[in-house]
Amino acid sequence: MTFRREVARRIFAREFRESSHIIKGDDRYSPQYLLTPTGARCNRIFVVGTLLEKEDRGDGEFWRIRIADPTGSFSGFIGRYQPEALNSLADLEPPQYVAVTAKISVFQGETRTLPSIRPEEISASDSLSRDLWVIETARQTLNRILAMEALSTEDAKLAREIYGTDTSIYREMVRNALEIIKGELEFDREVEKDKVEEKVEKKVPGDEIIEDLEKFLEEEEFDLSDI
Amino acid sequence: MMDDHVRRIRSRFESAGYQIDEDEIRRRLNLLINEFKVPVNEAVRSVTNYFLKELDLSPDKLVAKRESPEVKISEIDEPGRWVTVRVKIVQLWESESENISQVGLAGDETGTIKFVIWRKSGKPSVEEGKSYVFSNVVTDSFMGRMQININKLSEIQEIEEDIQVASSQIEIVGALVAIQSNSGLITRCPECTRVLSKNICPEHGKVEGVYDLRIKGVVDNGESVFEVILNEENLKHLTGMDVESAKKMAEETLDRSSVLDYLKNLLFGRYLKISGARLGRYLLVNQVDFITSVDTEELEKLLEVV
Repeated sequence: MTFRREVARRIFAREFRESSHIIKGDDRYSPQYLLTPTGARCNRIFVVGTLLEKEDRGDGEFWRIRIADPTGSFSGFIGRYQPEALNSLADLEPPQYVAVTAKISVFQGETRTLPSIRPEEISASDSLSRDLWVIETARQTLNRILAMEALSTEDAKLAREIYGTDTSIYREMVRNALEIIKGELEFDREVEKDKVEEKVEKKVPGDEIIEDLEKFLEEEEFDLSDI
Repeated sequence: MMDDHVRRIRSRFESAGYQIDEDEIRRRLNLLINEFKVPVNEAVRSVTNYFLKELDLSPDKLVAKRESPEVKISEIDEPGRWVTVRVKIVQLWESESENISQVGLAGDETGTIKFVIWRKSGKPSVEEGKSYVFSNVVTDSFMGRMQININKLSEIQEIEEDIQVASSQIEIVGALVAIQSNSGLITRCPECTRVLSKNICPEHGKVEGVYDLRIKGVVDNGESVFEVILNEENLKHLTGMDVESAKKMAEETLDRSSVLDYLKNLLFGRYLKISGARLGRYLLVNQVDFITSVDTEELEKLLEVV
């Protein structure tokens, strides 16, 4: 058997939270997967979002964290079996953008199952990476939705059978996430435009050179007086 | 297929100056393959050994007299053949086993192939970017992929010629989702460029390490994973850091791992565009850049479809 690293799937928090079906392998050594309502089969996920909380649940050796995206939040735990992540978490203070690669784990309660994440690595990130992640996750979620509506993959068929997925709900989720990013980008552009306009109003060509020259002379004067 | 093996065995002995009976070869092969269901290459080996014993020959006599044919990498498609190739060393990997002296990727104008130089072969080290003739190497299949093994009977000869290597160039966009701990400021053996731990090279013992900067990591686009190595040049392009500034940082903080923490902060989880050659699990980086802005056209298109 060839060792294959598991792909880190892109899932929005809301879809993740609504997932409960575990696919187990043939023996206890084979990887476990969480099947999501749109038919993503994930063992590992990658998320860029906002670290909302980090809560010490055991002398700095066991932390509960929450990471938000535009659709909801991921719950996660970091303990001493995730040494890299535990080490990095020390430098992170909510709220801040973080990037996370995580394994999936599922708590089986009496009434329901709760999926959570076990970060392998977590690190500070930025708003650009967050925007790129949302768009990428939107694209991949939409592709799964389309596959489900066409019942064109085995996992799509299985997910529909298990969850009875209403794809219109997830289309709505994807649309909202994209609208938020679009809104922020437009806001950023407005701010940029304002800045540029301010500059244009204040300066005409040539001003800059004169300004520089004035500064130069001022400095010269200052230097002289100093001597 | 059986006839091919029969002929090959016969001609191996013939080129060493010995005539053996084809029917006898066929009968023995048939017995092992069809009656006992022995794997073909095992059967061929067993039958060959049988005749060696019959003729009281040592195995190297059989091979030494025989010039293995020169082939192109794309022609290597079955295990157990003795061949000669003219190749350039594309990349050296870290050896996973004590028994392997060097392992990596060799290429010619038709393709690339994994090569393994066994420690027992006693061959001198090869270097990345140099071209060689590998004579009398044995083709093998490992985990479904072809490779060539350099053993005691093989020869490695460096050549002046600069072999052009074919590769399938691809371009991917993905996030750097993992960075291995043997990244950052590292030291290499001055003899064989192997990465050292505690300044000890598995082959050359205690050596004065040469500093290098690299990131070994995984780029993932949500559908596929690519193992990548970002070298000093790549890292300088992305972060401005080179070996010299990394060394300075390590000296100032008295901690080599501060370099890796610094690079991780800048690189982990970031989206990268990489062009390079895909070779199995690996993507050999040719050019790497950060994604610096959102593709607003894609955003609009997605909003239309959803």
